[in-house]
Amino acid sequence: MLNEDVLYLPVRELGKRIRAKQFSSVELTESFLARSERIGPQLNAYATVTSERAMELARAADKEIAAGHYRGPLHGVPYAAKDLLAVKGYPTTWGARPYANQKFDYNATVIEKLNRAGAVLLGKAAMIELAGGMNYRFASASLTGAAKNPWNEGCWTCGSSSGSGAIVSAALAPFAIGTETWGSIICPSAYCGITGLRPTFGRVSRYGAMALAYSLDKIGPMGRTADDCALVLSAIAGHDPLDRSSLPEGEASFPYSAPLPTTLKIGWLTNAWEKPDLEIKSATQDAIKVLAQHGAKITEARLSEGPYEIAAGTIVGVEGAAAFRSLIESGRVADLVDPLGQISGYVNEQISASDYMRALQIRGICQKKIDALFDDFDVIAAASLPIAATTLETNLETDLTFADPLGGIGNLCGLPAISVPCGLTSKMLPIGIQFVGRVRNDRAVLAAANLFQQHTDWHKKRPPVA
Amino acid sequence: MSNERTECADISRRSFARRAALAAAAACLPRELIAGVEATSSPPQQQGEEKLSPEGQDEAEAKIQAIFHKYGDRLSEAQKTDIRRLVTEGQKPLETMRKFPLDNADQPGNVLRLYPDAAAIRGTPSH
Repeated sequence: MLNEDVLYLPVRELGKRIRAKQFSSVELTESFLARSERIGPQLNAYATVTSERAMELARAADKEIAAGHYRGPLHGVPYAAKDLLAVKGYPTTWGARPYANQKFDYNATVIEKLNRAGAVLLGKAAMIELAGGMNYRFASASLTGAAKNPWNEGCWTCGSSSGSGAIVSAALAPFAIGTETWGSIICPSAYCGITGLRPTFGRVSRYGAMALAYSLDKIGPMGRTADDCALVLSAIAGHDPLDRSSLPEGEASFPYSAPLPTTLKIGWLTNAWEKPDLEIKSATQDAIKVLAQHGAKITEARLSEGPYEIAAGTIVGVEGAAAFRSLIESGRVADLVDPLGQISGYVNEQISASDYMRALQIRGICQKKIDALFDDFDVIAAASLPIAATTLETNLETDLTFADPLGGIGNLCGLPAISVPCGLTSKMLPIGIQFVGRVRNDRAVLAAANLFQQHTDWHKKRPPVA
Repeated sequence: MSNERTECADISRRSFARRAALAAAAACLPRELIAGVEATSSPPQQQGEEKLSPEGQDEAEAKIQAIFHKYGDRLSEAQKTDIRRLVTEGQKPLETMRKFPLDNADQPGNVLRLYPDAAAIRGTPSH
């Protein structure tokens, strides 16, 4: 078995070593499977480990590489996929009891694309039931129980890509696929001390993925570095006629070979969080200083004010109620684990068409205003969250006190964003900083994250999980 | 930081979704229908809670009754109380959103695209 130092290497390095035959994909896959089987259950990280399929894919990868058919940097590299992505022959539970036995006879486009890149699926990552589409009150809102944070198993990973966060953080896989409607990549990445990319809306096909909010759902990579996320994005991005929201090929594809730019104009947001914890504030300010020292031009910036979060929430509510109409009307929502999940669908059904249209019109205005901000900046930046990971028992509903205008606007307008680790609290919990870019400018957010990671080692820190 | 703190960004989304989650559909229900639905008593307004306008209260009540009319037989009393709270909390953000000035020319920012696009049509036989 390969040792932990190898399992914590970034995707690019693993790919290089496989190609150089320092170890085989089979050896690497066996090592990640063994670690996943040992540590995965204690973190509630996986919904399903697909060992047999993984070994088949790994053997095929080794055979192809030996024959000189090298597919690229993901060839032979293992990964996990959130359990809302269809994988032929395996359960796709959407993290929810009503779908515990659900199977599809096809693969999601993302899975197909990763197959074509030669990546090796290790398993389906645990997730919050229905990706939080029916709301939830507790971290335990999942078919597989609360996902535990590798940095402190008494703390949560955040959701809804909870297993994806735990898996990458604990080196059960070098990267995982997550999804975000609002916060579900950025938050677990920040809580778990990993790097997570939310691509521009429409860049990555959602075909074969559970729908939560048709006009907000995005699929993206979670890994160790921005470079890893860029490599994975380049494999999974691209137009797909099977996804009605897919961007045209010229806008959807993400060729990644040239070096990322290092001269960046960054707007440091002064109104993203009202009262971030002092340790978060200090760590993110230090991060900005690092960027300034290495060529980035930093200027303070402000988000435009308006009812953008309410508009985003209205759209999530309406589209979620539509996406799960049969679950709501049949009463099977009662089978969800979370008490809030059992009733919120009924409430969301009551949103009027008038209010939904108003929210869409407000989105149009918000798109123009946020786009104008990017005339002055390549990216805007703020703490990923104003706090670090919360306890597993926290009542998420009653203890919410802060607004999230950047998350609201970023998701409402389909903007790309990335969260990278930038510190640890005194309780050894990860802190994240996020960079948000103009629509289609995923390259800029990756560049900012990459610049930061070239000059820091927060992304190399390992949690105490064993 | 203290483990007693309990917030997270994704939670924020849920909360806003919840608060924004209700509007006028129920207000369209005929009065006689609403009157025929068993009503649970309204809880007293919480201290410090922003008060809804009378119209807002009526609208919230109509939505609550619409839910109870359609789904009441499958809901426990505790769930009904929770639904009443969620609907009431969700009303104020909607009122805020409705105050935002919009003109006839403000097109919806609908990011969904027409399907199939021109390129796809060229590559596929006609249906």
